[in-house]
Amino acid sequence: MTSSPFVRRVLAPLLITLAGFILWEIACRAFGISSFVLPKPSAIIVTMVERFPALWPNLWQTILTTLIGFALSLVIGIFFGALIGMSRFAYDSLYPILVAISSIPKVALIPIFVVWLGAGTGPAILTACVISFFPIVVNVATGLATTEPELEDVLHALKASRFDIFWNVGLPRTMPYLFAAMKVAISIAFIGSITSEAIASNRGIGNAMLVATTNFDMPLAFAALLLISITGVVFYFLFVMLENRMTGWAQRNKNARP
Amino acid sequence: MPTRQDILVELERLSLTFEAGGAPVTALDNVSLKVADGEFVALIGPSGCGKSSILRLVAGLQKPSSGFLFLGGREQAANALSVGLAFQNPTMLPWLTIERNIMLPLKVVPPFRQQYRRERTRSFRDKVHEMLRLVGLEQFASHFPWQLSGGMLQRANLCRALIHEPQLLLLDEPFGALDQFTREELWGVMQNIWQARRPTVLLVTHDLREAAFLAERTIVMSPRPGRIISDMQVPLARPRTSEQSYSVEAVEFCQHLRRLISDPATETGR
Repeated sequence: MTSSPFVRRVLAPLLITLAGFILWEIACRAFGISSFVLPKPSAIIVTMVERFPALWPNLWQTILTTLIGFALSLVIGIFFGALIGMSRFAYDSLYPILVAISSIPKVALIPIFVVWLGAGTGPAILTACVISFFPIVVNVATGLATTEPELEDVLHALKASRFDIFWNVGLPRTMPYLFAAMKVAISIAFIGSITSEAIASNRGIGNAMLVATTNFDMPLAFAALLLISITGVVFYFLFVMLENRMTGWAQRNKNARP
Repeated sequence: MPTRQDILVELERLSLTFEAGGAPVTALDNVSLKVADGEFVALIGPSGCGKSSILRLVAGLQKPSSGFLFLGGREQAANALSVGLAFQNPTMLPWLTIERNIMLPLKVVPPFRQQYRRERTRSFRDKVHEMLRLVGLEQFASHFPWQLSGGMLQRANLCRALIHEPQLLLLDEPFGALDQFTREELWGVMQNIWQARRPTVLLVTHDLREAAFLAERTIVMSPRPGRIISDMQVPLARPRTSEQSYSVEAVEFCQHLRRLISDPATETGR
């Protein structure tokens, strides 16, 4: 198919979503599905717009906890990724421990975080952080471990320190790996935040969903879901844009050399 | 033979053994060699003779199993010497322009690194552009590595090895992956650089004409375990040209080298 990037990347997904909504609407009307079981998309969208002033502060709270948790996970992820990517000993000794930590279902940790920090913002940030740091660690370590040995030799012969090599070669060459990981990590950080809010918080979009379902306000619950999806897409594409700006050289690299 | 004081690199009964599949392999066996300041020395020999190992030892990338290595009259641990290194693979950083790639040593080597932030857009840039002019790449300073051909990248690689004005230049088959014409052109470039700046050069190659074109002195090594079997001055006047490398003296010299490598027993160096 030959079509412009705008049609493929923006128009087509929107049209497909719209088609899905129309099918859903028709099905709801044709089979007379109760709005308590599955609300009509039209009703969901109307609720979303009408209740937006009430939903927005909750969504904003979730966005903030996600971003803070994600920032923390970036710092921790880059630190451990750099450590195990640069040192064979650190790799062998820490990797199994990191795998063990990442294997714990994070939902199981939320009650513990609540005991530590009290319900609300604290556990949401911490959950977003612990759920999203592992892909960052793995990708940073991979990027560092694949540095060309000849290049390291050139710098070693110049008596460059390990930090010099990390700063000038390892870190920049890790950027494409880091940004690939960030796209994944931001999405799961968002999920972590919402999960934590649904379990133990009186604020945030996860809590708003929980409240809506306990009040049997299904259109509101679905409106919150729709907002979550939209925010997830926005997060993802913000990081794609950032990636294109920061690591354009890695994509250009795929073009044929003269 | 060079006198004691102007010897820049000295290997004294150097040996290198390493483990390969459980059995010890002797890469270098009792190698002694003196290289004078400003000399251009080619190390030649069959593959696996340890010539690259000599380079790695001199660069401090490996430690000898026994023997001594002196650089600038001191034990190698003193790190008294500034070294430039270029391999067959140019390894330019893909996210930096050619200019910034060549500047990389200035960013890490001591006398320059303190001034890097201030001078990178001033005197350092001038230095880089001067180097680029020397190798004929001046229009490509702001290009990225993927926009350059293999020969151009190798020119840039030479610039990067030389930008911090090293006393010792170590070249490990830098022209090995290039086509014949580009290679001969770069020999000319390399000769100009050497004549203009007079760094001490250790060149590892298995191209005999390359050794005869570039070097003052050729060292022939035996197959594993690596030993020096011949140490000769190249009897050709400078500046040398590509045509000259097909002259009778040059061809005779190359044939002599060739016989040394293919049948070391019948022939002995001077």
